[in-house]
Amino acid sequence: MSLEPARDARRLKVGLLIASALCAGVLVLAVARASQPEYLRFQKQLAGRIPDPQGPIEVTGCDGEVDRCMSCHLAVERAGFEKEPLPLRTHSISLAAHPPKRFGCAICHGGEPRALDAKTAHGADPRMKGPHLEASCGACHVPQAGKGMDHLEQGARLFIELGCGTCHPLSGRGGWDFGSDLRAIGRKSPAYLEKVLLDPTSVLPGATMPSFQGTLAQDEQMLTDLVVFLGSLALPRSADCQMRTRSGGLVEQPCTRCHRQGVKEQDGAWHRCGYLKDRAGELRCGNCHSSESPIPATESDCPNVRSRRASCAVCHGRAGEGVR
Amino acid sequence: MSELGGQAEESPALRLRRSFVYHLHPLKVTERALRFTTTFGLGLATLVLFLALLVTGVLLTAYYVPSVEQARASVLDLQHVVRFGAFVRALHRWAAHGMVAAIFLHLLRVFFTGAWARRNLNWLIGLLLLALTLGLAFTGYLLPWDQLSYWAVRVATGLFDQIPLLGSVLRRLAVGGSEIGQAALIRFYALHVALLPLASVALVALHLWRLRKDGGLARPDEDAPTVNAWPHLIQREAIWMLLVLAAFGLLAALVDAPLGPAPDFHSPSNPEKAPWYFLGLQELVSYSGPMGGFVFPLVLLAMLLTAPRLDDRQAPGGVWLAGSGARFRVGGALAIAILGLAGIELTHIMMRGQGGFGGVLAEIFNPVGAMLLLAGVLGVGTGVLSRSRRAGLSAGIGTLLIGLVLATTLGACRGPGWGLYWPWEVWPVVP
Amino acid sequence: MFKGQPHPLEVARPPDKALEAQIASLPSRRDFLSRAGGVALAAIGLGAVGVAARFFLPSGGGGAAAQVPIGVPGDFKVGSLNWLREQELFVVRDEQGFGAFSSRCTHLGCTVKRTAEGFSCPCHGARFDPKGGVVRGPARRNLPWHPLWLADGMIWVDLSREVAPITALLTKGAGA
Repeated sequence: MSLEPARDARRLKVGLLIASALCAGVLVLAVARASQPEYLRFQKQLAGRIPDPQGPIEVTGCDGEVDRCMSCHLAVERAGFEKEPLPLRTHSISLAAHPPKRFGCAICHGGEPRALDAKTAHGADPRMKGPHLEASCGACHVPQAGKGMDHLEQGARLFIELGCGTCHPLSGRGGWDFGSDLRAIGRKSPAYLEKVLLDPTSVLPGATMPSFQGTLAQDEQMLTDLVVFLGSLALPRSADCQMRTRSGGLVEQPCTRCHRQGVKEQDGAWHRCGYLKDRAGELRCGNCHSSESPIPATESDCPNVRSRRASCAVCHGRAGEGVR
Repeated sequence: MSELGGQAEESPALRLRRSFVYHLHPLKVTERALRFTTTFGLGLATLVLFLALLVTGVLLTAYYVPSVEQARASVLDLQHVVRFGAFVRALHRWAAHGMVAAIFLHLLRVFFTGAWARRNLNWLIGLLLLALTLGLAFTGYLLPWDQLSYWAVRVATGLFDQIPLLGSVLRRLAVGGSEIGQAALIRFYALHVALLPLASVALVALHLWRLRKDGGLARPDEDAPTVNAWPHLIQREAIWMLLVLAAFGLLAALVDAPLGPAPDFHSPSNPEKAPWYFLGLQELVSYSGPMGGFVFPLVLLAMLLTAPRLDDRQAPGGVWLAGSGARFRVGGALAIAILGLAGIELTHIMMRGQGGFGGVLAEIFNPVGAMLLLAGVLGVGTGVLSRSRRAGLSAGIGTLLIGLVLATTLGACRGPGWGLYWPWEVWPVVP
Repeated sequence: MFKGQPHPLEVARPPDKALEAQIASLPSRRDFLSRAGGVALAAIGLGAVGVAARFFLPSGGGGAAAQVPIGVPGDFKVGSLNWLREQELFVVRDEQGFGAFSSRCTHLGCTVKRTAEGFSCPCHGARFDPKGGVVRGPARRNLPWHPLWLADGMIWVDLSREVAPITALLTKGAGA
C-alpha cells in the first residue's frame, strides 16, 4: 500500500472533526442526563401547591442517617394529597407519632435513604411497603393488635402457637435441645425465610426441622405474618445490641434505636470505652446491660437495666484495678 | 511539509507541536506505523484512559471521605447530590476497567510480536506499569467501603498469612493493625491517590521517552520511515484517543457505576467474588492459597521479566510470533496447552472432594502445580524443537496466560459455596 | 597519558610486571572516594527504607482483646450450635459440655457458612466437617478450637490459644 499524503490529510481532518463531534455529543448527553434528576420532575408537578422545594430535601434521622426520601415524597406530611399517584401522596397513616423530621423514613422503610433515584433508594428492601414493613415496628415496639402492626402481632402469636420456640431459643432463652438461636434471623430475606418454613430440607439439607407446608401453605396470610415477625428479629440496620427478655420472651431490643446520640451526652467516660463498640462502630449495650423487663414500650420502662460486672473486668480488671 | 521549513510565522499550535509532540514522535514514520492493526491502538488507549482516570480521580477527591463511617455515604452523596457526580464516578470506574483490559492486551500484543526484543528497560517499565495498574485497580475498589471492598481486603491480606516468617509483619504493614478498619482504609487511600499515581505518571513518562529513544514502534529492519508524522500519524492518534474517550464517556453517561451494600463485617456474601480482572487469581487461589496467590503470579512475572535476557539476539521485533522460526510449533504447543489445561480443570472438577493429598503435597499436586508443569514442559519442548528460545518463551508464557483466562472463565461460573453453575442456571437459595 | 607508548625515561629499564600489577590493583584515591560515597549513599538509602518501613508498621495496640466473655451457660442449649457474630466463633454444647471453634476459614479468613454436612466457605469453596475438620481444600488446617472457662458466672474464651477439638464441662475460673 502506498499513502497519498494530500488525500490522507483531508481524510484525517474529517476524521478529527467526527471524533471531536462524538466527544462533544457524549458531553451534551451527560449534561442532559445530569440535569434531569427524577426528583425535579416530581417537584415540578407540585409546583405552586407546596412551598417552593427546588433541590433535594434532606433530614437527619434519629439514627444519624441522612434521609433524602422527601425530595420525591414531597407531600407525606401534607393533607390534601391523598388521591395523588404514589411519590406525591400523603402518608397512608398519620405521622404525628413518628415525624419524619425526627426519625427520617428509612428507620421504618429501610432502603438507601441517601439515594435520589427510586431504583437505588428503594432497592430490594422488603420493608419498603406491604406487610413486611411491620417488621420495623418490632424493632422498637412490643407487638400489639390494633396499633397498625397486626401482621407482626399475628406473626408473634403464630410463633408461639406453632411451637417454634419449642426448638428455637431466642437469645438463649426458651427453646429445647435443637434448633438454632433465632436472635438474628431478621437478617435473612423474606424469600429465604418462606422457603425454610415450607421446605426446610431444600435449603438446609439434612435439617431436622419439620415442614410447615401443611399449616402455612393453606393460608398465605399466615406465612407472611410469621415471616414479618421473624424479620423483626435483629433487623439488618439495627445495632447488635441485645436486651435480655424474660424467659420465653419474644423480642430483642436494639438500644441504639433510641440511644445512639443519648448515651454519649448522658454518661460520659464509661460509654466511650472502645470495647462497647463492635467493628462496625455500633454500640453493644448488651455487654454490660441486661434487662429483666420485657421490651420497653415507652421511655419510662427502659431504665430497668443492670450491669454485668464480668464484662467490665475485661478492661478494668476483676477488682477494678484500672485500665489494662 | 512546508510548515516545518517556514520559520517566519509559527502559530502557537505549531510551536506546541514542535516542542512537545516531536519529542514523542520523529518527523518521519513508516507507513506500517499508521496501520491500526500494527498495534490495535492498545498502548494509546491505555494512555488516554490513564489520563481520564487522573482527571476524574482528582475531581472525585473533592467529595470522597476516606473514613469507614463516611466513605460509602460520601460515595452515595457523590452519586446522587453532586451535579455530574454520577457521570464522573462512572467514567472513573469504566475507564479503570478499560485500562486494565487495554494494558493487558497491550502486553499480549507487545509480547507475541516480540516488540520487546532488545528493549529490556522499556519492557521492564511496562511490566511495572501493569503491576501499578492492578495495584490502583485493587486499592480503588476498596475505597467505597462496601461489602465487596471489605471482604476483598480481608481475603487479600489473608494471603499474607500464608507467607512463612514475614507474613504477619507484611499483613500488619498493609492493614495498619491486626484487624481491618480505619487504618487499612486510609492506607489504601494514600496508595490510591498519591503513591501509585505518582509512580505511574513517572513511569509512563519514562515509557514514552524510552519508546522514542528505542526508535518508535518495533519493526522489521526492511521498513524505512517515509511518511511525515504530522499529520498522518499524530492526527490518527488524536482521532483514536478521542474515539476511546467518546466510547467510555458514552458508557459512563448511560450506565452508572455500581455500589454494593454496606459491609457486613462478619459474614461475606455467598459467593463473594472479585472483579473480573482478579477472578482468575481467585479461582487459582481456590485450588491452593500459596500456589495461586504467590507462585503462579510470581512465576509468570519472572518469566516476563527475564524474557528479554533469554531472548535470541537475532530475532526481529515487531512481527507476530516471528523469530521463533516456528509459528507452527508455537501454535501447536498452544493448542496442546488449551487441551491440557482443560483436562487439568476437568480432572480437578471430577476429583474434588474425593480425598487426595494433605498438607504440603496438596499445595503442589493441584491444578496450579499442573499448569506450571505443563507450561514448563511445553515451553522447554517448543524451545528445543524449534531451536529458538523466543518460541519456547512464547509457548510457556502463552500456556500460563491461557490458564489464567480459563481460570477467569471458571471463576465467572462460580456460585454459592464456590460451586460451579452454568451461566443460565439459577442459584439455589442458601442460608 | 602515556598509555600505549612507554615513557622516555622508562625505555631503558625493563618493566617490573609484578609491581605494575600490584600498583594497578591498588585503589586510587578517586576510586576509593567514589566507592566510599556509593557505600554511604546505599547505607543512607537502606536506612531511609528501614525508617519508612518501621514508620508504616503499627506498634502494638489496635487488636481485639484475646480473652472475652461470650455469655452465660444458659445462653447455649444442649445439642445446639451457636454462631457468635462479633467473635466469629461457633459455640457448641452437648451432653459432655461446651466447646468453641473459630468460624474464620483457615485458608484466607472468610467466614464459613453452615451446611448440612458441616461448613463451607463462600470465598474459595473449602469444606469442613461439623467439628471443623478439613474435608476439602484449599484450606489445609482445621478450624481452631479455643479454650473456654467459667468466671463470675460468664463463659470466657481465649482466642489466642488453641485446644483439642472436644467439648468439656466448664470449671470455674480455670485458665483465667
